[in-house]
Amino acid sequence: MRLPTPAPTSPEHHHAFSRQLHYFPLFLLLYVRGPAVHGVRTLSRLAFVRWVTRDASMISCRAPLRTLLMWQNMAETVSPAVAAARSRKETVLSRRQIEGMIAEGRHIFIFENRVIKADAWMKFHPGGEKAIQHMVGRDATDEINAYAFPSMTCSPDS
Amino acid sequence: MLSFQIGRIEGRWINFLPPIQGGRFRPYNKDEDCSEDFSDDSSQESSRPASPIFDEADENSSVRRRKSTSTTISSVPSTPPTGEKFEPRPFFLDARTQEEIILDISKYPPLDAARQESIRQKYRALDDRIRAEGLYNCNYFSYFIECCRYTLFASLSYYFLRLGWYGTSAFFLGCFWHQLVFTAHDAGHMGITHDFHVDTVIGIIIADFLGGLSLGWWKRNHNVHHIVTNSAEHDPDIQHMPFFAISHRFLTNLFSTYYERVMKFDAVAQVMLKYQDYLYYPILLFGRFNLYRLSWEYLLLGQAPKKGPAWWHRWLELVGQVFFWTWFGYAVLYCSIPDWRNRVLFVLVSHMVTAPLHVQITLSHFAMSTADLGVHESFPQRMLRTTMDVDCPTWLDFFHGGLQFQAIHHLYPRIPRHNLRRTQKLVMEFCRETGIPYAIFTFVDGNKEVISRLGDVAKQVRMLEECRKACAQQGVFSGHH
Repeated sequence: MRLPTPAPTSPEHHHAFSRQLHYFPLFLLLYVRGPAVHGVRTLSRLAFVRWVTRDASMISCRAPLRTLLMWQNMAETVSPAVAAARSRKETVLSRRQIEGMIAEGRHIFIFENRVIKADAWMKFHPGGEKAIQHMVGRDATDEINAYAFPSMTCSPDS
Repeated sequence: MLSFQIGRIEGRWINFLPPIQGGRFRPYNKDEDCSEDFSDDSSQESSRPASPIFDEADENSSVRRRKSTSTTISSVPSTPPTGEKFEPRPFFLDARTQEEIILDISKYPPLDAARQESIRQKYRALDDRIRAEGLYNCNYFSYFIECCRYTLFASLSYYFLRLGWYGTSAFFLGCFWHQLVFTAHDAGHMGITHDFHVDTVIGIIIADFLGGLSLGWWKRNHNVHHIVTNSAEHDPDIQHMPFFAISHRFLTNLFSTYYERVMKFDAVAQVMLKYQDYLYYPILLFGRFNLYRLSWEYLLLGQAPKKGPAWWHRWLELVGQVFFWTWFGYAVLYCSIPDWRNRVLFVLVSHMVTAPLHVQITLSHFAMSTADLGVHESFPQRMLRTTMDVDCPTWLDFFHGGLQFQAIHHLYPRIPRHNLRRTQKLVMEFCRETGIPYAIFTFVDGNKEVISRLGDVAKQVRMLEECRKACAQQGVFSGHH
């Protein structure tokens, strides 16, 4: 079984991908009832584990996060679009540009000199949307380090 | 979260006032020369603490103008962010707001960028030191002792219930709940195992299954509270209209961004607030009933996250509610207690015994500043300016359950509660170095402070009433209210 290689740099892709994973409990069936061929069982078990951690994959356990990052790296070697998205992250934005984006209704804050656009993430935030809204346009480094959980802020590059 | 990164910034970031707090943002068109503009307003801004670009952006009503001028000292945010109407209000209230801001500015380190940045750096360095000293590591033995205490209270309650001493049984049940909440608080902050899911499940078992409250409601509320502590229009923990107002700003129909409604200063509020210093303790006796209301509102109206890592918490919490009302409502109240008189007594006693908890929750913020010094104030300074600690002997730590180190907890929320006393020494050192006053009172003095603050606002309510009466008699502004 080949797992699809998503481009996890864009949040929309993230969620589309996790929606696909909803069908994966079928693999549990395959694991329990399926033929006792070693490869099938291993793969279905793996698929099930990924299904269980599907929403959490972004933040809660480090293992799926690492898998995701592995895919990201793989995708990057394959797809130039992903590489472009990577380099987009390094674009230096001016304060005025960011002000303009916020004026358009984006939820943007700063974390350790990175510009984070949290629109797609807001409704997933376990701490509620209000907490993010209060940080829009601000440097949220200290607040995030104090409250959000560590795996959320560990860098994909490290 | 880092996958949502869209770029980088260079140099020091100058905060904007967030839209939810009334900030105005100008659209950006690609033709404008951004580099020049940027250097322009950044130099202007570093000289003044507030964000003057907003002043230029709005040129509509005179109300706006008046507000903008006050933002030059600090951002006193607008009342309702949308659909603002001109509403006349006594001048002395605005003067009072200014006075409090000036007082705070004189007591606390200046808001200039360099000073605040150095506070931030020291705060981060202290975090590293705390980590290095192992203060983030949870002492599980301390929690074992806590558990023994909980078991003791629960079994005493059960024993007396069997004996038919309903009042005594209710008293111990109240003690049990009072103590449990502290561990739920730690769990909500991921202060026990530091694992999101494990701690949340511990928290839900305690809060929902054993206490009948909602951990999710508490988290939603508490996160906002921690970020905008003691801000009259944003912090739900100080928004208790029509029962209490700890700032004169509540006397002007303030818009709550948390509840998304206007907190009306109506006839009921006028009467209650006039006597709030006397009603403080009696009302807190019923605090737990209010928590039920808020919890159900949260769970039933679907305010909980439906997606993301926390999607299933809501369902677990609902199961918890059913579980709670089965053991408490059905097994204890209905089956074990024979008559209605005793049932009512049992409910009242068990809920009222938890009143000290509500005193403890409100104590550490009610007596502190509610002035908003704007977005340029660093996180640690804001926390220490709006929070106080309670001085208590070590053996009484269990009674306060970590809430006695509220200021330290606000700085470093994930430190497990049994390590807070050791962290206090480091934080005191930090305060001495940065020149931020560290507020600490004994429990009794803290209570006196709160009562005097409530009395102070009550006095202003009376003054406002006098003004209105006088105005009505003389027909000066007969039009309003």
